[in-house]
Amino acid sequence: MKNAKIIYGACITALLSIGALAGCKSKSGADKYDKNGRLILELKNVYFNNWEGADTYTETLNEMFQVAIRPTNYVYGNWDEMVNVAINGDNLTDVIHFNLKAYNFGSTYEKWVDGQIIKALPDDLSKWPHLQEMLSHVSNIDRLKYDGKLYCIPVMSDIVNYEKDFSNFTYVYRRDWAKQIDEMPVNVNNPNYIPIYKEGDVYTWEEFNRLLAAFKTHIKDITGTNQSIPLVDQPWAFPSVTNFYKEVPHCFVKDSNGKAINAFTSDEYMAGLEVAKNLASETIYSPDQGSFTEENDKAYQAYKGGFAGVLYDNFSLANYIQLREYMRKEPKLDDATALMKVKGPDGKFALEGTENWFSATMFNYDISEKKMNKILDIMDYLLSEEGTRLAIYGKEGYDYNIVNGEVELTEKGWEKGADGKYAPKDNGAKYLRYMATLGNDTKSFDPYTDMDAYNILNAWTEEMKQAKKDGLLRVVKEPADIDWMSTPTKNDKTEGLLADANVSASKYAMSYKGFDKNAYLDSFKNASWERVLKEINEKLGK
Amino acid sequence: MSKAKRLITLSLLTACVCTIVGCNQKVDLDNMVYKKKNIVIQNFEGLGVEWGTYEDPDKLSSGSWERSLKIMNRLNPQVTRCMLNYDWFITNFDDKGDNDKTNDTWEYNFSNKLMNNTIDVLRYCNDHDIDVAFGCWNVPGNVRADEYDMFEEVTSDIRWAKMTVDVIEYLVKFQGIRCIKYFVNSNEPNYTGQMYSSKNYNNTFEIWSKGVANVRKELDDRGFNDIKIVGGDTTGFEGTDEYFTGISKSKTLRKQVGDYGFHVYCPNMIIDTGDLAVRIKQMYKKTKKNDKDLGKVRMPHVWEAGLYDGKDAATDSNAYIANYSYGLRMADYTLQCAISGVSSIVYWDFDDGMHFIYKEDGTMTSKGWGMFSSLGTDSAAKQRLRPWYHSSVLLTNLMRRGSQIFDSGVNDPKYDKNFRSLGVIGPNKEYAGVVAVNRDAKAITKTFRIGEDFKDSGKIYVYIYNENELKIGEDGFVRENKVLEMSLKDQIELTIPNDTLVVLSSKEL
Repeated sequence: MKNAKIIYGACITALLSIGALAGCKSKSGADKYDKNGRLILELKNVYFNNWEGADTYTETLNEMFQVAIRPTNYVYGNWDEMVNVAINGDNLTDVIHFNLKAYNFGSTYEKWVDGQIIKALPDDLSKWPHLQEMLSHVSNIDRLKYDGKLYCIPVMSDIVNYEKDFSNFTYVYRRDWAKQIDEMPVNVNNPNYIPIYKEGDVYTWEEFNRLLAAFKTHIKDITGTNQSIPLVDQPWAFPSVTNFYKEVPHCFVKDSNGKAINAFTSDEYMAGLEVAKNLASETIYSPDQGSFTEENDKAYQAYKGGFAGVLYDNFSLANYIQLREYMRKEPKLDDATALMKVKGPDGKFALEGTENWFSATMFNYDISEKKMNKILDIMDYLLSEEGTRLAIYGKEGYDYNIVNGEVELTEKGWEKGADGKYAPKDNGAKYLRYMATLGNDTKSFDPYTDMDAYNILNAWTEEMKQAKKDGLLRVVKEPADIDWMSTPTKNDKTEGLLADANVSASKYAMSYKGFDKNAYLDSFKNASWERVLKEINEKLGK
Repeated sequence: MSKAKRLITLSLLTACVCTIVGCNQKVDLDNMVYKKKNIVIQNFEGLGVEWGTYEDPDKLSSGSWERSLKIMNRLNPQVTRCMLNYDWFITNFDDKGDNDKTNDTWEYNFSNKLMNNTIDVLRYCNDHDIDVAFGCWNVPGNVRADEYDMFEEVTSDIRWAKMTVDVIEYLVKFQGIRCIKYFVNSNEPNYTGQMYSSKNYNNTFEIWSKGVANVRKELDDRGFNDIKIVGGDTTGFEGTDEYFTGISKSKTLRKQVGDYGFHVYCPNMIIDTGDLAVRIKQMYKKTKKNDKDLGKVRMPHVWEAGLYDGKDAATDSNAYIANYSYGLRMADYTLQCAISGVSSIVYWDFDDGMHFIYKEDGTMTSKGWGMFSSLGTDSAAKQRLRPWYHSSVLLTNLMRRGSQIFDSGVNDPKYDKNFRSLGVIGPNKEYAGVVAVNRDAKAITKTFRIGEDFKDSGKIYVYIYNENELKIGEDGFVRENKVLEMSLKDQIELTIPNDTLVVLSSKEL
């Protein structure tokens, strides 16, 4: 921490000096007012894409809080870079939104606190009861505190069901194909045939593998295409089958003595990697899987193109709805996009653990107390019942009325387009609420929600929650003491180490020429891994 | 019973004999009389539509072009806005390898399909007495490459004025185009956006003003003194306020621009509550404090009029465009603008076939803001005339250039948020008409009378626009629902169904 502070401080001093020499513009964060005397708030967020702040709901908030909200957005693909460029250029907006994670917080958040880039929240949050209540449920919030002060608002996924600690990284599959295969004459007429489709979509590890093998044999028969890929993973997740073996999702795991070791060379991970390698050699995975990228989107191309049987991705509601849109042409949409529940060799479901928040809202260190209070006022209001109604339904009396205690949408406010769906309508309150929560708690009553998709995904979530209670779900998590540990090398190198490790795992699983097990293990024998493990174990006292 | 009161029997309008009109209330909300004291515009400049260069004329078959012209004929606009890009014509650009922009040279290739299409559009306007605001979307250059090094200075770049007048000169002197009345000094200069996604990221009012000064000088130097420059072409109330304030406070700039021009993409709620008129009036009043010639010499114009709700940013289309409500709201929008003193309104836009979204994979899809689509590749539903075309036809044919526009005197939303109307006396008092919108969920009954003189035909053509009653003739265009053998000088009582536009006219529209 101290070293970081000195280095960062030096950088800041240098930047400020250059700024002074160049006769810089006024400091970012300074109070400015619009022509109507309203305090200008410059708010930036990755979810503000396509929102200009020109809607009547933003105006309502502007009037209510006597502010002039000026939204801008980060581009998702350049999110981190845009934040860093703004910091380095002393060109920060009043509110910053950053993809804060355990593995980058030491190299960003900690440094920004030390470097006086971001401002602490007030100690006493009782003026903002809804915000205070939300923050009381944030997982691992103590890790984000320095000298008892919190320097960000973690963006909660769901402010009602905050106990969910697993991600939606899972499989979707062609249930319709599984049923079709079972109904093929060759199978119906075979007295020894065991159906591959499982009612309820719950598959043991053996059943999962049998289904993949059946897909390999029959996809071409079903679709008439000349391609067939039983299993595709999004590139960031490959090889997904290791999830059923590994103990942690990322780099560091503890051995039986509590000592940190490289998770990618642990026995458990290696066992999973061998399974992936076998699946690849049996062409259950596509021979091209190693060349899938976010840009070429080959995993989705294969699934929506009708020649992949199982797809692994992060099926957030938005992603699941998107997939269903892609598959809309299928006569049985639910069967073409069924969520699959796979139990690993240990008989348990396995899902990657997650915090109950994603990303964080931070405040420019230079903003005034008045400005910060205004922003907190707005956030608190938007978390209240009334504010939530503004964000989800719009204005009472125009967009909706309360009839017998129930919200009733009006035709004027909620008109449908030619396709019979509610047309998009900018609502600044909804966008601004993203500064505090992703709003998963509002999906069940948001008129824009695709309720078919929501109900399917919600049923899956509830089933997994129950499985967890029953001890049938293994939530794969990094040990919290390592995950949130800050050491110089860990802070600087973890992201790179993780990226390199994923490349090595992919190359090994796909049997890249010359990349045998030794080559795979050798790829981790370097100074960075050694140093980072040494630092972690020193802190662990191992 | 007064002679003026007649029994009106309409199948769709509940008609009755009104025995008692008016009451003791201070403000009469039931009886609309359009009188001299309520004239808001003495010399209206007409309505129209954005009709710019088709970005890919190859997509148009000769049949679709003919159809588009028929549709344009019936719309019969008196003002349009035509925008293009200079990139389409500039060739052999040479910056001489130095930073001096004054010695840069370039040529133009006007012999291409885009200029041919531009000329087709402008010739039509020439032949049909349509005033055109002509302009260029942005400074030339690829949004990521800025190969002409113009993005920093934007329209204040000295080459912009030369390019502008070169293109105008070609059109006027070599193609005989006479309909260009205004030049648009780049589209929505206040909508700056971000570097690499917008060419306009560095624009400011000061930069834009400098560009206006340069263009004005170049136009004057080359004999185009009669072409005015749009004062702003800004978007949104806040940005427009900045530009209008800046223009109105500057004696120099006031002389250099020809109007106060802006764009409004209005949220439904603002239209539905009558608040659009309130806002425009506020802006008008504020600007008028600085510029007494507002409304006399420099008129307010809306150069892009559309609805904000329903906009899908990914496709740059409006999901409500084919709904009847779109037409009703655009009529209400027009009405509110006119009673606020806006002297002409250009709807966004004529034809989906003009503009496209270009995707990274090289494909392009048409933007859905039009009154129809001329693209054979679009679905049959998209090619059909949308309801708002028909409502617009009624207004463009009634509210003609040279008309007097009368407020009802009770349009302020404090009286009634759901009902608005205006009166029209056409140029040379040749005809008269009424435009009224009932935005309520229930039918309402009102009386209407033109309280000033006009050449009376003794007939009233009644047009009703709503989902159930819009009447389309065999030719595919809007028809009157009823012709009444009576005069608009008489007091007529109408029951207007819910969510309905009614247009009354002493001439067939």
